[in-house]
Amino acid sequence: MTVPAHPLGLEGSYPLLFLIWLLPLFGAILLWALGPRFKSFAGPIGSTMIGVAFLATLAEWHDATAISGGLAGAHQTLFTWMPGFTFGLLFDRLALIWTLVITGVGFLIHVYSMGYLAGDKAFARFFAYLNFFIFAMLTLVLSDNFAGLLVGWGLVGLASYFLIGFWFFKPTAVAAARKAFVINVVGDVGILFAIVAIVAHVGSISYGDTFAQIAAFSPHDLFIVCLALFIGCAAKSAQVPLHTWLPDAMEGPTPVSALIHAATMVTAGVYLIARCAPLWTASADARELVGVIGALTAIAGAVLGVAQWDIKRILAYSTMSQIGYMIMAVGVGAFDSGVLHFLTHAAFKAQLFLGAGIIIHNLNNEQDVRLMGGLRKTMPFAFIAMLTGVLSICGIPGFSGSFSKDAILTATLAHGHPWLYAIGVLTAGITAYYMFRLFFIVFFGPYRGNVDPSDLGVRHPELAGTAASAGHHPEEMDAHHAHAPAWLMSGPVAILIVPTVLIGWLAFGGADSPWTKFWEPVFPKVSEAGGFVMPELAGTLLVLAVVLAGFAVAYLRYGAPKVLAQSVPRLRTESVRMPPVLANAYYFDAAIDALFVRPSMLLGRFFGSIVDPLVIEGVVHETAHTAGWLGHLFRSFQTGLVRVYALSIALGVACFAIYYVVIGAAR
Amino acid sequence: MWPTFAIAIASLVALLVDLFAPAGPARRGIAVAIGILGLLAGGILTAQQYGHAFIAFSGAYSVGGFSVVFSEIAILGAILTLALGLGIGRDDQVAGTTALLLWSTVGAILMAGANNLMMVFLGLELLSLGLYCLCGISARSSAREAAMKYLILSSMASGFLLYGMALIFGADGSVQFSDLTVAPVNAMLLLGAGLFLVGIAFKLSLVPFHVWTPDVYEGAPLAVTAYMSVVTKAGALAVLARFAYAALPVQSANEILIPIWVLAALSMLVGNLAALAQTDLKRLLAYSGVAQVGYIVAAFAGQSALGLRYAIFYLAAYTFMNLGAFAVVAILSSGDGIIGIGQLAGLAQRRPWLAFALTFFLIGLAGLPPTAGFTGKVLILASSIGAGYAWLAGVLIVGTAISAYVYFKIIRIMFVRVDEAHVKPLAIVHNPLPWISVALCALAVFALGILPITPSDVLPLVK
Amino acid sequence: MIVTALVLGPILIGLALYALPKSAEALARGAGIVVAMLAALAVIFFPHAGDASVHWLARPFDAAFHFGYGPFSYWIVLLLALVTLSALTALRVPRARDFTAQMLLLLGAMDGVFLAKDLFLFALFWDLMLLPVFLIMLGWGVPSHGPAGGRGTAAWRYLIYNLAGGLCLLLATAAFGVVHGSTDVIGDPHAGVAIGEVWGGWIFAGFAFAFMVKTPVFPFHTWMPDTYTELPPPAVAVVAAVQSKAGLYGFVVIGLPFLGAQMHDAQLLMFVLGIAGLLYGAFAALAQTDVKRIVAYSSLSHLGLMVLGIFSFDPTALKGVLVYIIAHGLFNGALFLSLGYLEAREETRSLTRLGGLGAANPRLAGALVIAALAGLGLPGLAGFAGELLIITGLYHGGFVVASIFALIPIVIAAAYMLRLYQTAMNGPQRLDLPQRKDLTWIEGLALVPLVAGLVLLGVNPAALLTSNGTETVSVVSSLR
Repeated sequence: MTVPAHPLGLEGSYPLLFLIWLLPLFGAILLWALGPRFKSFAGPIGSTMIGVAFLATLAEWHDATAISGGLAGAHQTLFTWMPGFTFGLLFDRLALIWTLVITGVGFLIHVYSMGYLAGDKAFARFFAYLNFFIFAMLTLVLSDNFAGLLVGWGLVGLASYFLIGFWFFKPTAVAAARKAFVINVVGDVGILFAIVAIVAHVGSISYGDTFAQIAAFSPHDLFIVCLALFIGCAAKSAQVPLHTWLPDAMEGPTPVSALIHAATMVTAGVYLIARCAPLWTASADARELVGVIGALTAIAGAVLGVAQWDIKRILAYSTMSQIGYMIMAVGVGAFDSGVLHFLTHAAFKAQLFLGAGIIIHNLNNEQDVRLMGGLRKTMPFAFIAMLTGVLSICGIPGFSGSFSKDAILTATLAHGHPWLYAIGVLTAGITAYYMFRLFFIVFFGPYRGNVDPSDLGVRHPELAGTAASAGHHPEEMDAHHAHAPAWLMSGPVAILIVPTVLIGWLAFGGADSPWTKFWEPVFPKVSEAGGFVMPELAGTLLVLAVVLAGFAVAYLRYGAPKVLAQSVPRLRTESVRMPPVLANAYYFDAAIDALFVRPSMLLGRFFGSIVDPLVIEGVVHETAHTAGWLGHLFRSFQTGLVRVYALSIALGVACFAIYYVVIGAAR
Repeated sequence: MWPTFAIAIASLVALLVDLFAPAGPARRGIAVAIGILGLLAGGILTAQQYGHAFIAFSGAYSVGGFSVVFSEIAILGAILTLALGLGIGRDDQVAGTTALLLWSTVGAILMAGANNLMMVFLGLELLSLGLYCLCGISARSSAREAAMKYLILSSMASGFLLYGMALIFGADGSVQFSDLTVAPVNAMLLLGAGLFLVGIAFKLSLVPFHVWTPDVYEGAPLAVTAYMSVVTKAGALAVLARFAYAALPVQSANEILIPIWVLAALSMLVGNLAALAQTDLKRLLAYSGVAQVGYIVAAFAGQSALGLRYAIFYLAAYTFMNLGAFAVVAILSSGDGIIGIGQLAGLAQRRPWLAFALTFFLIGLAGLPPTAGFTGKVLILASSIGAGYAWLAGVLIVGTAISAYVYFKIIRIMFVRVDEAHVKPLAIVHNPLPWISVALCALAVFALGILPITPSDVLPLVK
Repeated sequence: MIVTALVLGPILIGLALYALPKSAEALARGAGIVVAMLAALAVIFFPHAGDASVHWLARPFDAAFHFGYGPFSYWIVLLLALVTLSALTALRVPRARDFTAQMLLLLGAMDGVFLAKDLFLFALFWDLMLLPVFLIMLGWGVPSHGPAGGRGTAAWRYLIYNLAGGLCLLLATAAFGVVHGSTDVIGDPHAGVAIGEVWGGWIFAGFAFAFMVKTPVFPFHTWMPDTYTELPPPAVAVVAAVQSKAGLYGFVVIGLPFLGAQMHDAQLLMFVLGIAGLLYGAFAALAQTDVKRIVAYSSLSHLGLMVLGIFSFDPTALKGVLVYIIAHGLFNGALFLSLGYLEAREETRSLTRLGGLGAANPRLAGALVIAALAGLGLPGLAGFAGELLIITGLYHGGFVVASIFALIPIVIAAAYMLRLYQTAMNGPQRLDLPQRKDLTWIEGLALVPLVAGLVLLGVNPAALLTSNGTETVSVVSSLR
């Protein structure tokens, strides 16, 4: 079966699209090749590439939204491997939104990094990686087929690997990078299998053909395909049980955490499911599964967020939890709400990470919140930044987060999943709790940076499994204070405040909001039995109540004046009393280690040092040995004694004689 | 019959050298020269007979493609033997030994053309008598022991042979092979044929009649060993071939020859297995010779015309490969020929060209390309498969696999890096003759490997 | 003529090198590089060079000195030339004259194997290509830490295993010739070979054994890790990259067209062995500490996948096999050369001793990581294209379970390749290791052809498929 011109997209040639796609790659190669020589230009060059790409994206807006329909948008065929394997670019509304975030937030974070990594030895290499990541991510979202998506999927994994392990002299960073990569390969393999199955059924890798021929799948096969795809999503988007790499990924520099492990890459799973909306629409089982996993991830992440001391790990778990929301949304079929949450989350989570980055930067790479405190006065800007972020993520009405979160929750209910709704609401409360916990501990009370860590119950980083990057840093990184202008870091954060607060208003007005209108023609409607539409206001109020409850608890435990007065001993007791199940993140790592890693290594040793040399070689060796033994046997006949020889000859003759006499007698 | 006369005369002339030529190296040179010239003359005269077929000595000797090819191989072997060893024995012995060598060669030629039992016996004894003396020529006691063993056991075999002939004559009333084909097959004839075959198998040193070979090969001077490993076998093979193809009652030929195929199989296996355990190069080559003859005999299986041609081809290939190897050994061991494998250690570093030459001959014997050994083996495989003796082909492959151990053991020793200090230098012969024979053999082995020419006019059409 | 020159040229020049004085090392090396380069150029610029055939034997079966390109062999020969070029350029080896000579002999012999259109000729070169490898291992072998241990042992094992295979190939060839009457059949769809049930079984058994040992297919692989470990880097790059493909090539050009029925009968067995090798190799690679052994076992795993691809008889899978053969050759070559650089600098291959080299040797780290990524099938590089097509073919051919098994090693590959790269290059710098200079530009340049090939092929493997895949595929589809 061959692929005709893309059935849905508007075939044509789009130079700007190429620019958007390849400019970052060009930048990456440029920086990789020449970077070390022109270090000072590395930052500006890298940032410019992405900035231009962003502007180009705005310029391409029209092409993406020109026509309506499922995959409506600009489409350009690139090349064909063989019938069915045709590669091309597709720039529709979904791709547009993602491209905007990738290039937009990407640009801001490039700028921010110029300040954050100023003076790092491998400054140029860092920007090369960042540009490469942008290219990979764009490949992922611009591809018009599953194989191209998988290529981008793998390449972002690679970029993430390089950036997590950017400080490759830190064993913890190296280990984290490998873990992230391997787990993501599990995901890649899932998608690979999905592709294989799709090609077998549809005879093509392109979205268009696939969605046009969903009928070709039996319900069972369709579910298998969705499942395989979701394995990819789960790995990339840190869904239970493939989430363990995300917290460790915080080993990377903070801008990386903000861009890759919060704003863009980890939401690729959401993108994929939204992209495959027709598949999910057609498979109720898939929706059920994904919805449940999403909800589980949301609450599991939130609960772990409560138990962290490393500021970046708190944010990491919150990311995991928020992506859980998105996955739950797209899972149950509320695609536009999921995408909306991706948008708002990209803003406020980047905001939070960058704010945290400022703090970490100024505290000389201290990441343990217990050693912070009272920063409200010393770092007012970071305070404002974090505050807006916190309010937004908690879903305080008026801030972006509230719109998307409410949308998701109401949709969950509307699609007839009361349980998921309940979990979602509960998670919202917990979210408020741990975010304000972070907020109070960091910004209020006395500054504890000069307190002896042991008084705060800070154990040795390795033991605590958190903040491995806290503590000593090789001289490569001390150069962070080589001063770059402050606006490089504060500027992007300031700009991000706007979307953090406002972007959610796109969805104001529910059914006839611009957001809903925007997606009207794209996503198929999923209607489920037992759907229950809750009045918008009621929903908002309910959630708000839970959120406030969470806030109240946080305030009582960390924010109240008398509590703040004796924060040190309280933090100490909390650290010491931390339930191990939480401290060890439900023992997921231990389980994976015991179930997969160790057995594999054992099996490998068994094969390499037992089976090969002893069993297989053993057989061969025995054969050779026997031959040699026979040789010696024959040799031992050679006594040199004539009579022995004569005897052997005589025996031979005897045999001859007998044979001939016998056949002679026979006739 | 001119070739035999030429060689015989040459041998007499060689004997005269002792009387006229001054003692010392000169005499050796002259003797060897005479010998080689005589053999060359014989060779040329023989070559002229190719394509003609006639009977001599009232049916006792038949000249034809068959006899020509075998005679040529025998003569070639003799020439190379003289060349690689620069004659045999001390300077004052050379004239005599050369004469003996030539007489033996005459014997081989007679066997090649022998057309009745008497001629077979005549040729066989002529061949052997010379060798009895040549084996013991060296002063070493082991040499005399070897000669004695050879004499005793060989006489024993001749006894069987003769008795077999007697029985055949008794059964058939004729000694002509051609009459045998129509003879009534009875127990007496069969037993006679069996004992006859035993005698031949002994000369071919097929298992289990090979027991004499290692000791005799080890004891005899290198050149004599080389000679026995080729010329004796050429003669015996000629007789076996004629017996198998042109002397047996057609209907019962197969069952009569079955034991020979069995011996061939045994030789391929036992010969190679026994060679595994050897450390002395000459003993090793002796055993490998046992196996190689096994391959050749396997080609007779089914008495197909192609089989005979391929057997001859492989015999020629074997001649060059084996004598080439012996020539290298001769150069390394300065004639005496007692050389252990260990002494070859690091040869590739010290004498790369000799190492390569020996390697080339050895991979040829092992049946690897690009050598006549490789091509010959494939041809033999094909013919025995085609003749319906696939099992022999299988045994041949197994034997070859084992032989790879044997030959590559030597190659490995030559090529593994060793530090010069640990190996004691070998005395190298500098006379050009052995080197020339090495080069000739190598060239021939390669050429035959690429262009496997097989004589078309070989079937002994004697009616 | 070109094809004949590809075979005989390197062999003759290789022998001629021995006429040079031992001391003329630079000259010899230069000559070798030039020959390899010429070979590569000849293949690239004369893709349509016609067959060259000279009649050879009329009895006992028809045979000819018949060389020519086939759908698979063209690309493999090109691969061979490129890898040899890189290998000779990349690393200096003691006694360069003899070494270069041996490498050229190897090049010619392997060209002979892949260009031979006559079975008998194929068998001839098949056995011939053993010798250079054996001699190189004896003369330049580096002692391995493997179970075999000791110099020469591995060479011995390599020789005996492969010779056993070669002899079976010889027997099968002879039988084939006798039964069919001619061996001048390779790549000739109209040969009309019809081999009866009785003979077919035996003949196939002979071929299959030879091919399985050479590839190697589990459980005939035990010669491989030691061989790859003890061979000097330039030689192992060539052997691992190309020689291991001879067996697969044989299955494709001899098994599929002429012994299809027997291939079908053997399908289940080969699937079992293929999957076994696939997993076995991957897990074994996971636990090795010698860097070269890791790559050796990874090859076993990758080759297992290709065996599955061939025996699925699915056109897509077969195209995948072709792509993967080339891809595997490219990245295996790159890997072994990079490891050669590593070994030459740090004088050890043990992961327990290596570490933290990336800081001082960024270029070396770069070379190694690219090779490793290609090895773990990073989407966008050639290996991925091959895997995707093969697994697609497996699933499409109805072998769903096999296709799932084929996925597992991809994950494990990520683990062991990264373990290899990270342990050597990342982590704190180790001062107990000799501190050497980073890659020179020439060393880097040597890898360029391989890496470029990986990227190009990864972006668009169609270059191989559309032009040359067709013939083979038609053969297969006629089979299914």
